[in-house]
Amino acid sequence: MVHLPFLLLAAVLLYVQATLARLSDVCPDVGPLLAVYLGLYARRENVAIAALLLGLLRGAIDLEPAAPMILIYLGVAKACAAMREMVYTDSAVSQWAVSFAATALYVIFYRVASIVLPMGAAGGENLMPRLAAATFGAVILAPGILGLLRLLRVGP
Amino acid sequence: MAGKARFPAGVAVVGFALLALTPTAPGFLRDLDLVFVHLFRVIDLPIVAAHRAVANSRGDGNAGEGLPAELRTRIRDGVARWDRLLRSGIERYAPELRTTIARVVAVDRLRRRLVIDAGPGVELRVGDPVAAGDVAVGRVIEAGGGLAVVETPWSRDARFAAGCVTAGGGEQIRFVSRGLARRESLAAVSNPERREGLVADYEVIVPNVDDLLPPGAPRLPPGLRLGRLELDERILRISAEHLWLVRPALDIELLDAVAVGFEASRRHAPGPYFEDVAPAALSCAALSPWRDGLALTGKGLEKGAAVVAADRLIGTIEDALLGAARVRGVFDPGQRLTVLIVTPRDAFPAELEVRRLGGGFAELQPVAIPSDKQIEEGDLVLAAGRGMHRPRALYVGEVEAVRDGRVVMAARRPDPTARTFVFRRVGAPADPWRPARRAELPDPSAPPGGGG
Repeated sequence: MVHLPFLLLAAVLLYVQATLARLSDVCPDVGPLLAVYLGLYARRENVAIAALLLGLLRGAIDLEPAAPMILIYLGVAKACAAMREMVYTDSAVSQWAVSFAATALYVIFYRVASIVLPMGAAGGENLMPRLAAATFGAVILAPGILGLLRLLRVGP
Repeated sequence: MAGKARFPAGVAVVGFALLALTPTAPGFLRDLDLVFVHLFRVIDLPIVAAHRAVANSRGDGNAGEGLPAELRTRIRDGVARWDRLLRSGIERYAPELRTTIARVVAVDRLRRRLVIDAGPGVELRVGDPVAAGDVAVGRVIEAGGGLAVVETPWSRDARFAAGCVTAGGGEQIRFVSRGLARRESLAAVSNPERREGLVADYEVIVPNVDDLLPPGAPRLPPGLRLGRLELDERILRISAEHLWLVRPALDIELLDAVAVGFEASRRHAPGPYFEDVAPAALSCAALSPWRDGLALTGKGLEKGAAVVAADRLIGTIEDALLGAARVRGVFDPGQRLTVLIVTPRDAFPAELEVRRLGGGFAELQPVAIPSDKQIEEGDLVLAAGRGMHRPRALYVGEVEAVRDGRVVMAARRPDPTARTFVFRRVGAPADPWRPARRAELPDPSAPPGGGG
């Protein structure tokens, strides 16, 4: 039950993102930011299960299978958790910096996964640039989204 | 004293993900995420209701209901023109036979065989000739419930009577066309009546074999084209022996439908053969941000089923679990579409690959297209009925432009208020390649299902 508020808020954020994607080609991808939140602020013992839920949510809203997304989100969240002691997590600058690094990691993981795993992202000519643009575009929103999640105390 | 040892959750999660990635993993493990589609559906309901209210207030509440009548007429005329062309060969060379149009359900690229579907109201039998226009496609080798497996002259170990007419329309040289187990779709020439009379590029046709076969034995109508003769260059490089091959007159992978000939006495009650389509709730927002896809909830969702909204094909169900399904959109990049192109004067099959998606448009590269045809602005694109649960000639869109050899089409997101349907073939067998062992036999005396 400790994961439920996070699950619901993540679902709403991903839903809003997908709705925006219907209206415009330019749409930030908040998925990696949710993984950053888990890495920086969630209790360490809850990170893995929350990443699993995040991957499943993303799998439901995306065309990619959930399993690679679970591994990608878990990797990003664990990397951010490792940085937790090195940065001042309340600072917006730190949040931007960590989000930027995590986003870069996410895009690399995604690219590698699309090559070695049965994912369709390698299919189009402009898929990866669009994904990268959406993911890096979301970094601007990092302090706002991380602040909102912390304000609502969604855990986990 | 050490605390209670806990199994690390991270290891369990990684283990779960790796297990779900294995090809032999059970379906529910691989598609567990589909359960969350129901969660998105709950969030989605008020948005769809608001969308509908806005559409109604604007007076365009029926905007997503269907295609304009003029467009429907163009589609119907184009398909009818194509069907007439498909039938023309059998009607010309075997006027005693009746013909029916059967959609091509699946193509076995390796063994060069087809599964065709004429509908449960049509009784196909072993030996029925199959043609596309004046080109012979093959003959039925297994049939049941309107479905049939077709062996082509290029199938492995196939034996077909063939012949070529010598220059000036002289004497016909008959031989046996023997399907090769090669990657190229070429058939070998064996036992020719006169080897020295064979010349490269001669047209190969179905010969008259009345002097060789007893009356009533299944045979293809004489006169249909098979392909062209060519020398086997590979063998010629290593030996002085001249081996002849038959190159097919058409690419069977492109065909969206074929004509099947049968005796006039046979039961023939063609009609809609897709089950009364199951309405499914189209989720407004559960769409992939950078790909073309969506999620559906509803009953009767089956893998491979075509999803149609407002009379347009929007995709095919990739995975389904517990009343939720993931649909791969028709314009998802990397996807190859077998289509029928309808021009103002003509209709022809083609294969297009989606290369780019963005800005409300999709760019498609023609991968295979008849050499004498060209796709032009304004042409209609209709999807072939590949897969058991997909009718043929579903409207995909109109060609907006052709740039650098690529076809540009509008890739609209489906209207969430539009009526959405999922198709299901009546009496579909578990394995389309075993039509005789179908899971559910339709009652031949019952009228075919509505819809479709």
